[in-house]
Amino acid sequence: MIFSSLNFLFFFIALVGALWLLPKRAHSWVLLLFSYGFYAVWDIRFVLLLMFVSLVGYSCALVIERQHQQNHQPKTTWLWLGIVSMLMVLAYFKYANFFIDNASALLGINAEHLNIVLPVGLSFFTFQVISYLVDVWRGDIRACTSKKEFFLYVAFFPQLVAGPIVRAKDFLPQLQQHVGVNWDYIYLGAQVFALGFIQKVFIADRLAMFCDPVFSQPALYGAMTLWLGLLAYAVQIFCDFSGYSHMAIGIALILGFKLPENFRMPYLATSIADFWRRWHISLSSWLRDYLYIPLGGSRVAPTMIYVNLMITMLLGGLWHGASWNFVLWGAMHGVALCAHRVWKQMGGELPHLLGWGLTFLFVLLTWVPFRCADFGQSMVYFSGLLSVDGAGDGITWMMPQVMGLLLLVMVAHLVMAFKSHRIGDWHVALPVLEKDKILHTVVWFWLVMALLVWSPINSSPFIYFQF
Amino acid sequence: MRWKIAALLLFSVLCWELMIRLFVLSPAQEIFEPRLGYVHAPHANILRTYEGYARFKLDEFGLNNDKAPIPLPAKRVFVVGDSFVEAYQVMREENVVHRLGDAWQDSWLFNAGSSGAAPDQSWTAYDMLKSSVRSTHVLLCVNASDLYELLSAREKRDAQGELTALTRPVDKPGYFTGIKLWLYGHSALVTHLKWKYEHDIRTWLLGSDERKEARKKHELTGARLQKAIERWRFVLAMFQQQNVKLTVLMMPELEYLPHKTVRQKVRQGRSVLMDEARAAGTPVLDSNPILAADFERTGMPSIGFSNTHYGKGHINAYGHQVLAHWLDSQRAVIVR
Repeated sequence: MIFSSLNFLFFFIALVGALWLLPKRAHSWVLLLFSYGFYAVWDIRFVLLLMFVSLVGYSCALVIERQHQQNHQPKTTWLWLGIVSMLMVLAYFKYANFFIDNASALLGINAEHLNIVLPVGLSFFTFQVISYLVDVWRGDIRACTSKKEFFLYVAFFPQLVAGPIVRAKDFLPQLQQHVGVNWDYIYLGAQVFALGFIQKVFIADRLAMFCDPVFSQPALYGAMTLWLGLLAYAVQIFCDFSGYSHMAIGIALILGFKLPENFRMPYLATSIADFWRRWHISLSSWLRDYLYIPLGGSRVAPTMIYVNLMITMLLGGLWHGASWNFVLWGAMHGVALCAHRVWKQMGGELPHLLGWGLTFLFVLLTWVPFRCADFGQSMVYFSGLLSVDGAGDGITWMMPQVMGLLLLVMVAHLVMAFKSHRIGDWHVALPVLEKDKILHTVVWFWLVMALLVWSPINSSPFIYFQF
Repeated sequence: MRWKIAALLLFSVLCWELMIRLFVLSPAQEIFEPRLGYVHAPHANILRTYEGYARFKLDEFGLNNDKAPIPLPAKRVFVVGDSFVEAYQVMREENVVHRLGDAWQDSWLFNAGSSGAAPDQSWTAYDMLKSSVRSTHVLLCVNASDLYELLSAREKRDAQGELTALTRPVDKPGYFTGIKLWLYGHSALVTHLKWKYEHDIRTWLLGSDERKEARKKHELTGARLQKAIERWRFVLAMFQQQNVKLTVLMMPELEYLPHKTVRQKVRQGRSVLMDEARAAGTPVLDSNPILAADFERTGMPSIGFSNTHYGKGHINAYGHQVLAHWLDSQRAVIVR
């Protein structure tokens, strides 16, 4: 049930109706019930897994909290028990077959794959529980004593399957002071949702119609088409994921909750470090706070800083999926971050425009292993881009709609870049309408018509669902 | 205020109607025809931009032709088939029938292609138009899936069990269909939304028809195969009884591969239709090797469009040109 489907519309109307009619004290139960219902639609078997993950996080945190009260500094046993449980769940569902493949290749045996279905959103909700446990252990937050509230924190459906990765300290207090459903939030939430919907349906899904065939058979196309495909994919993945995040933020706002923003115009970054401050912020800040800093961060010997950076980015790459392509993607970013650090320490400065150009080109090239099905296909794509050994001599396909959309997105970026000092902030990016009923009605009508007329027939699943 | 909002919304709808008419498509202007169901109205304006680009006016039969020449030439070729012949994806002067008409000055080529038409419906179209077109030759264009499509026709048999007719169930225009038809005939917006969402909404309400689609991909066997062959033979026989010279043209089915290579799809329907036509004494022209060889030589795909997907969908303007050039070389077979 994706946010841009009719099924979701009916589901959401039922939920808002229930919240509207029932007293505030019942809201958490209603949200929990609907969140589990939302997850059950994907695969009812994994509701038990969601419960298990929540129960482990809840119980371990309570024990850690008790140790806090008794000794001031709790032992790490329960923290590790919780973290290892989450990692075991991840390792089994997400990486078991990857390990089998690699072990088979190393040992020269032919081992069979396990019949495992990857539960949707697994990487997101396990990371939320890990961050919660670490925060409780560090004493940054108190353990949640209400099962209902903690289970809702893990399962809250707008961010359950593809983030943003929400910290408990940001979410749990909102449950205690839940504002309920009110018109101001509905008004703002609907606009943020609409922005995400446009990004997803009008831009990302249209670009997917071009990117999917190009990336599935890169050897078939000419170099120009491959470059256009790469550019289109860069915009597609941004609009798909940023669109999902906006839709999630909008839905949560309508329900009376604030979720953190996940993107700040990443393609305007002027360095690779800047890019990671703008792209998938909830993951990059998670990796920084719960991996890079615990490894020692920048307070260790210079060599170790680079090792920590590489470990963080390699694991960040692997988080996206069990494939060497994602490891390669993470490694490319890790190397770039190290190079950027060296350059900075040498006092290097680049003009903004050159910095932006190099960063954008690098990020663009890293999308090749990210999107291609395997390592071999990535190499075919790279060869085609550079027209190496007769590659890139295939069909030249320059889809006019793709070029039009890319131009539109470029203009939008430029407008944002020069118009606002808070680049990429959706509060600024979205022209919040005055509460003029006539203008409001007409604008919404035109928006709905534009989506009905110009959106592709079938909406593709969000890219980040697979992670 | 309510009146203001209502007026503005009405104005907005009119704006959308105008924009779609100008940039996307014209109203379908479909009419009900008792034997064929809904067909395009005579003289309807066609504008299509979602696969290729085409804008033209239909003839008095609601088909993709210029005005008939006066007097009619001695050789009149009735070209019939599905949307590949209808060619609503390219401008009229770019389609294969029009190109052949230009090349064969002493002949008149009449395009009777109609979207989704199976061979039995091609026969029905011929039967309905034969007195108007008075053709001397027929070029029946088919593709592999036509063998399966033949199975969805209704049949009539005589007392001896011989097949005497193939018909199609058509919707009877009731009260609501009348309203629907009026809307389709007058509103480009409604027509566009219908084409875009009708299938999805139907699937959403009634469930997917994947099983039906999957059946088409399976090979026919036993009684079903025999029934399809019998019906194909029947269609061929009906044409052959008409004192016209029939030629069967197999439309292309290609899969483009890297490094300017191509795979010619060989589905069961293709070989059965070709073998049976040959066995019935009908010349068969296969466009697959021609378009495949052209791609291997030039690297230019004949199927698909820059605004949709190369390798999928209909024949593009270049493909029509290649096909016309080759069919011109086969003139002695078609206009024998």
